Amino acid sequence: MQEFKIADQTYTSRLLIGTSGYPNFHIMTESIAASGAEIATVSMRRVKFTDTSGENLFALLRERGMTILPNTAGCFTAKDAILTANLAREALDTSLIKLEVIGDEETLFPDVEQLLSAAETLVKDDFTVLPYCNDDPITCKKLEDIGCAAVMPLGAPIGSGMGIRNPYNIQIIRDLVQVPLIVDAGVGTASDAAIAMELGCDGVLLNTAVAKAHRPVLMAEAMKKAVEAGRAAFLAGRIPRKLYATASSPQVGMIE
Amino acid sequence: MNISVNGEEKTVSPDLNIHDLLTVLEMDPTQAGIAVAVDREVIPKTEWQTIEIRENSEVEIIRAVQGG
Amino acid sequence: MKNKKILIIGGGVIGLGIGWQLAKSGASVTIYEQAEAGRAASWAAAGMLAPLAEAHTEEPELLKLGCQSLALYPQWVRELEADAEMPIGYRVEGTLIVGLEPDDTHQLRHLYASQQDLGLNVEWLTGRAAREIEPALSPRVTAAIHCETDHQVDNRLMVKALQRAYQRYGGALHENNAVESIQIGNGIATGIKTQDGEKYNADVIMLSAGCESAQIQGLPDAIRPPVRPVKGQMLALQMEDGITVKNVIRTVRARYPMSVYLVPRTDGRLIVGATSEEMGFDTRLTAGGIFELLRGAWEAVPGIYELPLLETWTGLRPGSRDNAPILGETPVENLIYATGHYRNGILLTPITAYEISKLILTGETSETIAPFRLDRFSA
Repeated sequence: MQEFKIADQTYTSRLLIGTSGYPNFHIMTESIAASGAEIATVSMRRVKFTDTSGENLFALLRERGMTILPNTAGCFTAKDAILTANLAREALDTSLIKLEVIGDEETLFPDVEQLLSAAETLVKDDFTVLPYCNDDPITCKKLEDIGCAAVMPLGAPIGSGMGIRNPYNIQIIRDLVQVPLIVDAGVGTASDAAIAMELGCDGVLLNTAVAKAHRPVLMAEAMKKAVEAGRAAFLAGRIPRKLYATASSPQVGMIE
Repeated sequence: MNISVNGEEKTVSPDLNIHDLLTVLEMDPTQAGIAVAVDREVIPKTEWQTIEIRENSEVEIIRAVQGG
Repeated sequence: MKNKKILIIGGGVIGLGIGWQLAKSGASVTIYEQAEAGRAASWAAAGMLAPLAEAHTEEPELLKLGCQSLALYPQWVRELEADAEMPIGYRVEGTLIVGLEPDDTHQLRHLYASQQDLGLNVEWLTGRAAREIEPALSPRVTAAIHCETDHQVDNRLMVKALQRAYQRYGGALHENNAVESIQIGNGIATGIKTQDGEKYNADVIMLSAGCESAQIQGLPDAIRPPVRPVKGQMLALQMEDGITVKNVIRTVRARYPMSVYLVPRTDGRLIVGATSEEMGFDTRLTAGGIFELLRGAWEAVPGIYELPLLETWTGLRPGSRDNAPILGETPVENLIYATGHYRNGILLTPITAYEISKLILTGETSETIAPFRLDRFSA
């Protein structure tokens, strides 16, 4: 069985989880534990001098042995994303970066032009770049050629819960790129995650689907199972679709 | 001298290095998980004791928060 | 037991409420307040008594406590208004949670499903039915959830009433005198030291300092309550000439990161809130915060456009790690907590006041508050 590997680190879990939007800090930690994820995303923000009692997310995730994946959420230009990535590397002692360069606040779709340019610079600066991108095979191929450690096309807009809107594109991307393929954004429920994995994705990154579920901890567990099931189904190989039935029971020796 | 820290105007004594500035701001410079940029350039922790902040510098101090 | 000397740190609604109940039973009570009593989170709050609208599937204990406290409100109001000889603006119109476009309706359905799972008494309304209950609502309102039993109180009147009732029974109140540290020796709390350097001994120390609770010195790290400030920006409008909102209105918006609420007061003020920001002890108003509040409120109730803007303010909610309050005994003898009430301080004041005063007087923790002890975090 092929391993799930990012930047020479092998992971057992193929689920990557976000840390935002949970009803409270306690439920967040419980959900992450239930998901079995070994990689968790965080954002970088200005320190509040007036904050002396905030919970230290970094320390908490590290205590649990999680790999921390900082993102560049909120950046609209390559320049801002590059600065954020450099700050994240310094603060969190990791060269991993989930590169997001957003083109528009309402849809949160990536700005491809800025994304490619930022990816180029960051790869040159020895970052392990995991770009959040459109489900566009050409963009994904270009990101791979630049030297990104993975490609992370969206299944649907961030937080929309619309699932994998264009499975055919994901399939083409799977055929085109050799680096790990991770669906990032759009997952609404467990079957969406399973579908992504059945299409041959190496992993799924999600946040809202768990954080905003009625029972986040239970949904986290469901996602864990879905990702495992989807991966197993992909490896097992689905049968071809066809229009007419084929009986599954023997056709001979029937009782006359 | 006047500097900007995370977008806020602050008056601090001259000849401060980054380590001193954090102390003045009542932050623990040895804590894990923070990073500092001066005029959009990231300053590695190893240089916090040596690099001094100049008048009108724009200092950014950041840390990890919840994100997706 | 009634001649115990009790010292309360923090004179918000929680401290005053517990103090009033204790003083009324004849105990000797002193409250130390770092600024003016009841002028922090208690003053900034909107006074919504809304356990149903705030309910979350993963917080069943908190929901139960909120409903129990809401049920105590009629009795609480009668008792407090009699003791303070003033009204506290308790209103029993319900709460309408509204959506304004199809994505919001889906979001509302999601919320409604979880409320039904929890067995809450809520009703699904069409936009038209919602406007029949609350004509000020925008014609764009697509659907609503009616929480008829979610009420409201004028928290600023309640602050004044609690202070009056507390002092009427001989409770001592020292304002502008912050407690610097709690004196603990051999696992027993014996007294406090105030900002001006004075030390005072007491038989019981009760900590109800809201978002400042974790800042008090002298507490070993293991028992420092995990409470942090969560900033909220708010504003008040003056309702006039035909623009009258009668129910509490809350929005659910899929498009925006923030929902808003509108709370009508008996005196004609319309409270609009609130942002929820992890900004430490920062209390600045921001353009974006006020913009989001006004946009959200205006979209739900377009008539507010012409209303005078009376006041803007920020407050710091005392948020605990699991959003629930921290109530009752601690591993330190004679040290009691009643803090971390987060978004529900006004709602939870009656149950906190009755239960904690009972605990201090009898030494017994009731089953009601047992799940909220500090030790739940060490499990």
